[in-house]
Amino acid sequence: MPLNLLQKLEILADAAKYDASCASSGGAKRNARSGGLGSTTGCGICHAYTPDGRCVSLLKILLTNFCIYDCVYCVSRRSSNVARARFTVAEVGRLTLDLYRRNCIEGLFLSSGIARSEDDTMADLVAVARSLREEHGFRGYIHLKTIPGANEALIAEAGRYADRLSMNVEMPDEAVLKRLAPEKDAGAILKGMAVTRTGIDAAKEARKPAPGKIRRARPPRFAPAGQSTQMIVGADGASDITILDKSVSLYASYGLKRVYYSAFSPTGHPSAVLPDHATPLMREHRLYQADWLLRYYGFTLPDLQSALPTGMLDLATDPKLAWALVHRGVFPLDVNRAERALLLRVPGFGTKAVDRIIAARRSTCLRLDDVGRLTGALRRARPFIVTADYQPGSSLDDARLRERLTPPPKQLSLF
Amino acid sequence: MYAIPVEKDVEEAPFRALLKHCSGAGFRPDQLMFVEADKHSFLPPPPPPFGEGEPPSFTMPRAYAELLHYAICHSSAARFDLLYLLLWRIRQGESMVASNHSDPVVAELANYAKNVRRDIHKMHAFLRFRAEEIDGRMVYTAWFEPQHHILRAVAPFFLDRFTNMDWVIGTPEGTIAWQDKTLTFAPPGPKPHASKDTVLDDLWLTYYRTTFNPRGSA
Repeated sequence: MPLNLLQKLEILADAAKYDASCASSGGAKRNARSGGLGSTTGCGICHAYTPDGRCVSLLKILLTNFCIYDCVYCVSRRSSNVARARFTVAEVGRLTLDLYRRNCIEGLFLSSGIARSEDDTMADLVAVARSLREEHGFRGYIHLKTIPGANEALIAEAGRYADRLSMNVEMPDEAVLKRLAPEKDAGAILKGMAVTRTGIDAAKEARKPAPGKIRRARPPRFAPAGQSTQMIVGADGASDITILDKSVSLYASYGLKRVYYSAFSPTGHPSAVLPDHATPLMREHRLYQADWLLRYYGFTLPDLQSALPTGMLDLATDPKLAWALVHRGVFPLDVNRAERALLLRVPGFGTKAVDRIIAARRSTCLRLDDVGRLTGALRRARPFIVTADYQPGSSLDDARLRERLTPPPKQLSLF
Repeated sequence: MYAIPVEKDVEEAPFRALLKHCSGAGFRPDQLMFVEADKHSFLPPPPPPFGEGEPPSFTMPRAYAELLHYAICHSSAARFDLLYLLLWRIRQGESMVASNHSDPVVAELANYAKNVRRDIHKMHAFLRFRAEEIDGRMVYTAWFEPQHHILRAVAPFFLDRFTNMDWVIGTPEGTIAWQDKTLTFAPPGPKPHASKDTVLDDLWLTYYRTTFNPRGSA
């Protein structure tokens, strides 16, 4: 019996839910004032949240979950006994437009199992994006997965229609990838990411107005919201430092917008080589915090490493607080004098709070109450700062400072 | 002491002009009370020639203008008084005060602005259209109950995105309609009965149910 659209959606949305990426931000701003349907505002919108707090921004589906690969961590692998389905190009277009018109989504996130061959699969993904853009005038967000090993011309075409392209490196360690995903080729993944980067950089360069030249039509954009990748966390024994080290080199080599960390969750089919329990979402969260410290707070990998003797991030303490507790000699910092780079190291001060402190101290000398109005996390910051009317005294040297600043331990579930 | 009536969903330009009139007339903040136009006040309005002619011309600092832009949409009755108080302090010489978020008045207004931005964002995100055929035309209707006076502030988003559709958004405070490429703001209508829409009721719910990974929430 052929499957109807709802049944296919059930199978192919279920198979896509393991991809953590949901961003619909960045890139070009577009609107439908001159025709078509949809807009991108530059900042993403979460249109709904799942019960565990993940954001639902895009219609995230697979084109098909038929797959010739046999990656043990993947629910759609060849040897898995899940129900299989396949959307037509027209069906994906209709689903996207119907949900978009009701303001349920920002756009489409389309991935696919490898059916037939890499090139065929990539060509099908491109066909969906082309149809949405050219036949339906769709101006919302499109995120396409690119397939490692697919022809460069297909990736170039994908970049013309999509806002973002991504290719998953899956594992921080190439040897582990080889073991868990025998058909996947780490070299092809990196090469694919390099092709995408070249496309993005070339389009950016070509769109820059040449000095002294007469203005002419600008060349087309290429994945204006950049490219991203994903690593599965907790399926192998890789430590957090190994994962972050891999991220640092990926950001540097491929100009990535984001590295997503996806906490491993069992696919429901027992496996001899994989853990039988889910990686806690808190680990994923701590990795994002560390990732942010590296990209926006001026931390280096050795900085983080100095506070992680085991190579693993502490699930109970955020990585900045963990660093501050190990480097108490840097503190207390005078919020009225310390430079920006140092203020960014104070636990509880985000980039916004630091900007506000710097703006505020131009017209006033900050007291503790004032700082309390500039950050929502004064309790955490307090032992590490000096204000006009406050000194932390001996609390910074308190051996139990860590316990005082982290939530009390909870009895683990017995089941 | 005088009461100055202000429409609760006052637009930015006339309110800025009103503030400039007050400042030009030399009123101290404690001599004035801004009252939402539908509320009664026992205080008299300022005597003529207040508010006549062009208001005095001066530039508001950018940081102040940014606060005002969102804070006037807040539902708190105190927003207009606080905005005037801050402007008066700036005119008294505290030219940088609007960028000092440690100041209690600025912190309060910044908090208003933040709440308004969040409310706008929620309306952009969580409003859902239901497709309905009315007189042979597809009309997309929605009902939403925002916390602040943001009807005008949310309109451009829907206009940019759904230019080629006819849509009506109802709220308890007013209605926005985009039909035949014309935008109209109208007084509130009754909350419509949610019509059946298979895309929302079946497709969207199926997707939402399947995209959640309960095994991941350890």
